[in-house]
Amino acid sequence: MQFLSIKAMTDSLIINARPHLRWHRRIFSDASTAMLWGFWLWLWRPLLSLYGWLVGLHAGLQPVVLKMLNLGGPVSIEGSAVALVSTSSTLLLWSALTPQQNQKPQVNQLQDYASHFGLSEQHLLSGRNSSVCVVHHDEHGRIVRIETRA
Amino acid sequence: MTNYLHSLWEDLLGFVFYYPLFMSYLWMIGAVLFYFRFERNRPHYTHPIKLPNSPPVSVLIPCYNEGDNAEETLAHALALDYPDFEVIAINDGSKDNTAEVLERMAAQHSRLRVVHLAQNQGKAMALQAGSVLAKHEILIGIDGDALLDPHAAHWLVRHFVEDPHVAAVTGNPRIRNRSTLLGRVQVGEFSSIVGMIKRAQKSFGRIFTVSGVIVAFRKSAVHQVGYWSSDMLTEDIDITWKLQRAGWTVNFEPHALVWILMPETIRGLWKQRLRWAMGGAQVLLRNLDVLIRVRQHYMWPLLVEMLVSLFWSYMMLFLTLLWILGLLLPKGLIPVMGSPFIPQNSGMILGATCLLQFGLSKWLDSHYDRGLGRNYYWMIWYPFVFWVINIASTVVAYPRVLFRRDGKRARWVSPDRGVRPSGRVK
Repeated sequence: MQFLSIKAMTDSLIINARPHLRWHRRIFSDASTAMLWGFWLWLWRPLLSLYGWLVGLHAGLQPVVLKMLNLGGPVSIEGSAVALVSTSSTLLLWSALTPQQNQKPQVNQLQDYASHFGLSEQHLLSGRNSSVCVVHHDEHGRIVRIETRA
Repeated sequence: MTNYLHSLWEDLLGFVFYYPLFMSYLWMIGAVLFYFRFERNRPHYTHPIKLPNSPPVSVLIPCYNEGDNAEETLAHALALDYPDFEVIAINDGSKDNTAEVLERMAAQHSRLRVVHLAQNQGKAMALQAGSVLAKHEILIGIDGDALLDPHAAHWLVRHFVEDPHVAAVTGNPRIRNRSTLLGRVQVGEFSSIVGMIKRAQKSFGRIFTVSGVIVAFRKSAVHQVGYWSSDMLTEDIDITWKLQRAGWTVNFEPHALVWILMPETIRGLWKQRLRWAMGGAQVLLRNLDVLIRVRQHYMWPLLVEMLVSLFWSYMMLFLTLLWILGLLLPKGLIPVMGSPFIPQNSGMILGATCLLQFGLSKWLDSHYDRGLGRNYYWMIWYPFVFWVINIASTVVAYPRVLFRRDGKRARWVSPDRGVRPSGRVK
């Protein structure tokens, strides 16, 4: 029941207006996506060729694995794996070298903000306590006035 | 010399093809590490660990021309399952009826406050005004059309309580609009790329950017680093780097959800991605000095990755143009080369990598977003279309940023918000 309620909550937020799209848009996206999947599956043809070779010749496993590992390209599978593991390990070690901060950060007070923005504490406090206010900036983007309305 | 050039050529081809594959596996390793360290033993996102003394929070919602979305966004924010909070809607000089909607709702809800900016100032200045007027130390920023999950605040706030050095926590955006091909591919993209990268970056050190659509900040930290920069097109990337360079910690909390709208037209998508690329370029150029600051060595991996990715984008463009020229010009004028997209028989590795990455991200994000499996049928488009968009936006972004006037205020209008049940784009 809980799963269903979570799914229902999620489903209510999702906008799926696909049935309302024009038919030619839906057909175009469906057909072109199917074609791309066909191309993607075509990329797997070397594996299918190997499988056919293996089944046909009843060859041992080792030469098959060696052939797969050398399917093409300048980088070997072993080299890539070594590069990945060493890069990951290096990054983990590197992040561990970050010096720890010793000081506990300070929480700013109202006067810090008022001073920074060149506003009076009273105006800033009024703004924080108001329900509606207007903030005025100068041409350089500095806050120059806070006008409370409610 | 000829052998050297030939070898260099082969190395370039290898780099262009294998770099994204290498990064994909690196992200997957990092994402799995993150899952086992930070996610696996956590309860479901609908059952957050509630702290005995939950500090109050201020939810900041900058709005520019959000008259159509503000009511729904504010209703969700006001429905937060959290003991003490306020919601501050910042009307950034909107030209539509946003002001009226906000003030009407403020009259009905005591937790809602409205801040009008007298003139449009941009998102960075809107956030700054909101933060100055916020009563509380912990700020949660969302976009004007984003729907905050009721449990998000608990998940975000605990980071600040458990570690006083945390300055920001970024949440987990989920995409609402899934009507078109573009919408559905972006659903997968946010899981398999954005979510995976954030997990990996947190595992390996530092996060490149918080997601501005859902992020919590410690106000004192933001004040210390000078707030959001008004001239940066992606204020979220900029503030992330400012905070981390100042020594603060930025975390990722996958249980803190927000539901967002993304563009579902090519024009809208291009506009958004170009802004993201330009913002990234601005941050890179502004932070290049990190490379000579040994005390900020922890930022080097991020910066190096940005530089290598930039080089990759331009090399991909260069090799693609060369390949096309090779097809058009008489043989012998330029070196013979195969397609830079799928060299030799390595297409199987590309296919396997895509399958693995999409599958892993589906598994990781299925805890937060049901029905993700259905969208993965459309993910086949990602390497063919989104790579092109991302490369093109990167290539276009850098020259634009270099010629952009320094200090020019960053203002932008949100692109389309996707297709609605009427069949029209909003």
